[in-house]
Amino acid sequence: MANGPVGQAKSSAVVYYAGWVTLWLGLIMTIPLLTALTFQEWPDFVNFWAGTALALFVGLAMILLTRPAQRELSWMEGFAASALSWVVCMFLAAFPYYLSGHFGSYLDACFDVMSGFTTTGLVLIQDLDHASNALNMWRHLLTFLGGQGMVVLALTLLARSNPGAFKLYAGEAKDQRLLPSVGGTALAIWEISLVYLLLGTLAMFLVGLWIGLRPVPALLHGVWIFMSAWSTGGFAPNSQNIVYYHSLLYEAVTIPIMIAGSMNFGLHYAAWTGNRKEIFKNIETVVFVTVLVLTFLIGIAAIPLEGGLAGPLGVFRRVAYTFISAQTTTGLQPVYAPAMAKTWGDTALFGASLAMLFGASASSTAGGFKGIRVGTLFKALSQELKRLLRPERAVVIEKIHFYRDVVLDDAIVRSSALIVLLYILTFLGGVILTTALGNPISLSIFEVASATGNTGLSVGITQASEPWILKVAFILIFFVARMEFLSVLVLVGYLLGALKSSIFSFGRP
Amino acid sequence: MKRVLFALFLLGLPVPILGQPVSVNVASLLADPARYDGQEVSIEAEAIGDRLHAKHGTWVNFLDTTAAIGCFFPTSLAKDIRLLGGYELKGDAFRVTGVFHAGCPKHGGELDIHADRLELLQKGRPTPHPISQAKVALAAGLSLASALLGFKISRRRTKGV
Repeated sequence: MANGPVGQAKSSAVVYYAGWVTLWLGLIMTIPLLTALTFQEWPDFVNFWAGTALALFVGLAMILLTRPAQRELSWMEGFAASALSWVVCMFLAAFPYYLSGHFGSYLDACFDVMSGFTTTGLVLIQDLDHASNALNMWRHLLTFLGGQGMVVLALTLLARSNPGAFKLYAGEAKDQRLLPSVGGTALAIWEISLVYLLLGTLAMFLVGLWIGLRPVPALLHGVWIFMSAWSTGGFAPNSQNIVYYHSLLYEAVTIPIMIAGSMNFGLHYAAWTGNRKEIFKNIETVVFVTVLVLTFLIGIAAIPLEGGLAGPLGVFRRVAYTFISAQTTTGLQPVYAPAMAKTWGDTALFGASLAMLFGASASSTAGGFKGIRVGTLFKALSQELKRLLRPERAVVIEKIHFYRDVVLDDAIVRSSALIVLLYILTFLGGVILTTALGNPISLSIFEVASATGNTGLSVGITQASEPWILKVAFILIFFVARMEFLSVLVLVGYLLGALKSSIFSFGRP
Repeated sequence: MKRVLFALFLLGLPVPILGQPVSVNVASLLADPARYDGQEVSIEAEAIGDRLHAKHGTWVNFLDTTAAIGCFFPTSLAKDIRLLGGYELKGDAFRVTGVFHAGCPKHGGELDIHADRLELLQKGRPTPHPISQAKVALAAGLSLASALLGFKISRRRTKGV
C-alpha cells in the first residue's frame, strides 16, 4: 500500500495533516492553562504548560519531518489523516490528565480523553470532587471539540492549503455540507455551536444562581454542563453527575440542549435559514420521536413502581430524563449507577440499551446507528413486505424525506445496513468480552450499548479497578463507533502497509 | 425476633439495634437502596461542593471513601457546615444521621438522606498543592524544544519549501 516513493509521499501527507491538528490541540490546551492561571491552580498550570509544550513539539515535528501534498488527498489519505489525528491527540491530551494525579495509569487517562473526544462520557477519573477548575475545563472542552469535529476546523484555521478537505471531514464521520466549501461548513458548524454556547451558558448560569451556586461556580458549571449536554458528552464536574444539583429546573434546562445537540447540523442550518418545516418532516426527527416513545414505554412498564419512582415527578426526573439522555446519547445521569443496576430490572435496562444503540442524528454530536440509517432500514423492510403482499408485477417505490425526497435504492440500503451491521458486531464483541470478565449479561449489554452508542450512562461496570483489557476494548469501541468504522479501518490498513514497506526496505541500499 | 437480629448481627449485616441508626457507607446505600429505605442511617463523610437552596431546606453533598450522596437539611442545621471540600479544601467531616430514602416522595424520587443530626468529626483544612520542580523543568525543556522547531519551520516557510 505504502511501498516505494509513492507510498512515502502518501504517508508524508497523512502525517503532515495530522501534525497540523496536533499543533491546534496544543494551542487549544492554552485554555485550561489560562484557567489554571486565573484560579491560581499552580500545579495544574505546570501540568498544562508541559502538555501544551509537548503537543506543540510533536505537532511541529510531524510537520517538519513531512511535506504537504502537492495534489488533492485521496479518500484513503483523508480518512487515515483524520483517524491518525484522533489517536495522536488522545495520547497528547492525556498527558496533563496523567500529570494531575487523578488517574491510576496513563491508560486510564487515555480512556477519559477518548471518552471525551467521542462524546461518550464514561469516566475512570478518581477523586473528581476535588479536581481543579483547569482540569474540569479541559475535560469538558475535549468533549465540546470532539462533538463539533476538529480536524477540518484545525486545518481551515491553521494550514495554508487544505486539498481534499471533504475527505478529512468525511473521515470524522460527518458528511453534511451546509455551504459549498467544507471549510465554510466546518466554520458554520462552529458558529452555530458558539451561539448556542453563549445562550445555553447564560441559561445554565442563571439557574445555577437560582439554586444557590455562587456566581463563579455558577458560571463554570454553566459552561461545562452546557458543553456536556450540547456535545451529547455526559461529563459533569462532580462524581454525582446531574444528581449533584438536586434541582428539577437545572435538569429541565439541559433537556432542550441535549435534544438540540443530537440534531443534525443540517437541520439546525435549515431552521436558521427559515425552513422550519424540515424539522418535522425530516426522517431523523420521525425516527427520534418514535424510538424515544417506544423505549420510554418499555422502561415505564418495566421499572418497579414501589419504592423508586415516587409519582409523576419521579417518573419524569428519573425515567423520562434517562431515556432522553440515552436516546440523544448524552449520558447525563439522574440516577446513581449502582442504584440503577439494582432497581431498574433487566427489561428497563434493555429498553435504555436499545435507545442508546439507535442513537440520534447523523452529522450531529450524537452517536449510535443514527436516525437516517434506522429510518432507511425500516423503510426498506416495509418495501420488501409490500413487494411480497402485492402482485408480482407491481412496482413498489419507497421514499424517505431527508432535506428532500429520496427514492430508496439498493445502494442506500446496503450502505446503511453495512454500518449498522458493523455497529452490531462491535456491540456483540464488547458484550462477550465484558460478560467473560465476570459481569452479569444484562449489565454488560447496558454498559457496552452505552460505549457503542457513545452515550456514557453507566450501571457501574466502568471503574478504575476494571481489567486493563476492558479499558482498551472500550477505548477502541468509543473510537470506531464515533468514526463510524471506515476511517479507523483505513488507518489500520495504512499502518500495516507502512510497516510492510519498512520491513521490505530494511537493509536495501 | 431477637434470634433473627442476632443471626443478622453474626452475618455482619448492619441492623438497627436498640433504636440506633445503621452505620453504613455511601456505596452500600447506593448498591442496595431498597434494603435501607425508610431507615435511620448514619454516614461519616466530608461535605463537598456548594450549599444548594431547596424548598424548606438546604442540600449539601457528602463524600465518604466510597461515593457521594445528597443530604437534605433544615437550613438552620446546614449552617453548622462551615467548609465544603473542593480543589483547595478538604471539607468539614461529619457523622450525618437521618432517614434514608430510596426514592424520596418530597424530592421527585431522589435517592437521599433527610438529615436531622450532624456531629463534627474533623474540621476542614486547606489542601496543600506543592509544585513539582521536575515538572517545571520538563515543561521548560519542551517549550524550548518547541520554540526551536517552530523557528525551523518558519525558516522553511520563508524559503518557500
